[in-house]
Amino acid sequence: MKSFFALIKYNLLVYIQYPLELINILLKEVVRIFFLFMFLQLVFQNAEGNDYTLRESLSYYLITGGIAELTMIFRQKFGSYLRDSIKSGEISNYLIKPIPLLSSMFAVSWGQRSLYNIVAFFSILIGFVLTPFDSVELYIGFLFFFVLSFFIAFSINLLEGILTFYLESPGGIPNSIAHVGRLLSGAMVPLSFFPQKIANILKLTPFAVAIYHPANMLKLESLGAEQVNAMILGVIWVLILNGLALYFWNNGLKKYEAVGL
Amino acid sequence: MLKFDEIKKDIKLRLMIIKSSIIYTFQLETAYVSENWSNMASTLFYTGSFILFLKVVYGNVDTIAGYTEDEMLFLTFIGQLIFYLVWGIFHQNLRKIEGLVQKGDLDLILTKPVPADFYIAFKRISIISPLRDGLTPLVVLVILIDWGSLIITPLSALSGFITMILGLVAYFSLLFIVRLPVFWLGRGSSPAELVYTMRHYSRDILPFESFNKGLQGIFLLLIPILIDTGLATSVFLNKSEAVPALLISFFVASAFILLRKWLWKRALMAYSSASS
Repeated sequence: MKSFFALIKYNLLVYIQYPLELINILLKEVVRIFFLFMFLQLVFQNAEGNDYTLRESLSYYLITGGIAELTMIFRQKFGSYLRDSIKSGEISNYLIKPIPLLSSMFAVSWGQRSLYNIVAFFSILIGFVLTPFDSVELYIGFLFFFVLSFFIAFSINLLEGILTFYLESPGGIPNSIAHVGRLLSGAMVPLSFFPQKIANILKLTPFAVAIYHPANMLKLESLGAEQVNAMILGVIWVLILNGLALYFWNNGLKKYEAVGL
Repeated sequence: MLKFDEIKKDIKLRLMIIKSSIIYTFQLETAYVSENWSNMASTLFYTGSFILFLKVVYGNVDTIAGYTEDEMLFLTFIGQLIFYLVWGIFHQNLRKIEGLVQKGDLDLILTKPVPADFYIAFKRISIISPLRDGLTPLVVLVILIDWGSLIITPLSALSGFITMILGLVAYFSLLFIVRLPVFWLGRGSSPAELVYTMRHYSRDILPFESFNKGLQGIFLLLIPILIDTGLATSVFLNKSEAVPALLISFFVASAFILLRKWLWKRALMAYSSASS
């Protein structure tokens, strides 16, 4: 655990050497939210029957964006770090050291995104301030879903990295998954915009468990049957996806060859 | 006569650089087959999910900033077309300026008997990647758009096309300029990333008419990210008058070319490395 946080801290310190980078990241986030807000205003001037107010929508996008960035579910930085490390042989540096392999590599990639993670954290906080949840149990529910999001994203990243063991150049496959995931998770548009039948199916996917359900807490008065079912489903997804990912990861490591190993 | 010969020689040299760039990049890009297919799938999924996104939004609204669904799809089509043109022609090359300066590799280019800024900007011109990745999504968009519902006349099409080209020239100069801080600061990617972010979020989903006058002024005159996409689309669709749009585009493109050239000279004066 100590080495995990040490690796994150080290990579964060590298970036703190460049304060202009932090300002740049903040400005990019401001730009993103500004244009998003412009688009939301246009849509909500004309939308009929939609149950999200403009303020709620802004909170929704701040929260979903923050979760996506913190968990790396769409950018898959951990996955691409694994992929590059395997291709270049850099993973050998980790294999020969007496450190837990996956958590160390995760710490490095998460640490390299530290500045983005800080901005994402505040993005979620601002979302809470703009549209506070109606009860404490909803915040607890949000935290529970966030933990599920973290592990779902971890497994997706790991599966991306695993592709490198089996394919020469997996390149666009993770991007394809990210594009589809962004829409199906409710990150691009709340699932309430979809036709009811389609929305009900989408809510069962791991992407929706990771992104839509935690953000949708802002629309609820208390946790209901739908949220509890989603939590149980989320746990099942975590077990299935991480189980598969770890199985293929161990299998792939056995196939890995490098000079000296 | 001598001046004319010099200009002819200059143009010939630039055309030779472009020809070599295209051949070299073609060989590089056809090396990995699986990368080709997965990239194509990725862009198709991106466009597909974006189209689905628009369908979902328009299931709840009739228009966005006065744009119907077909007009919005046309905006997306123009935005995507511009994206692949930019990516194929100069985007990747301009990203390398920072590395060239930081590592001192710029010396090797400055010692060559070629116009350095032109060579850097057009060193690799990609034909295969944009065609491979962009053709299918663009064809899908062409099929989905109900062209009969769009008010495009031959005059508006020509004006829109010229606006698009002038906008591309202005945007190229802007991208080049925002890479130059590396000559003074040692790092230069931050302003460029900010421009990319603005461009990315304004390109496909925000019609030109959704911006107020102030923002239109900023994104046309100061940070010209809207000329080749939003403004050009507006001209195509007869939502903006052609003559003022063409005049603005020409003025901005010219101004940014001159600014780029001046800043490039200043940047070279500030450049130093172990061998220079």
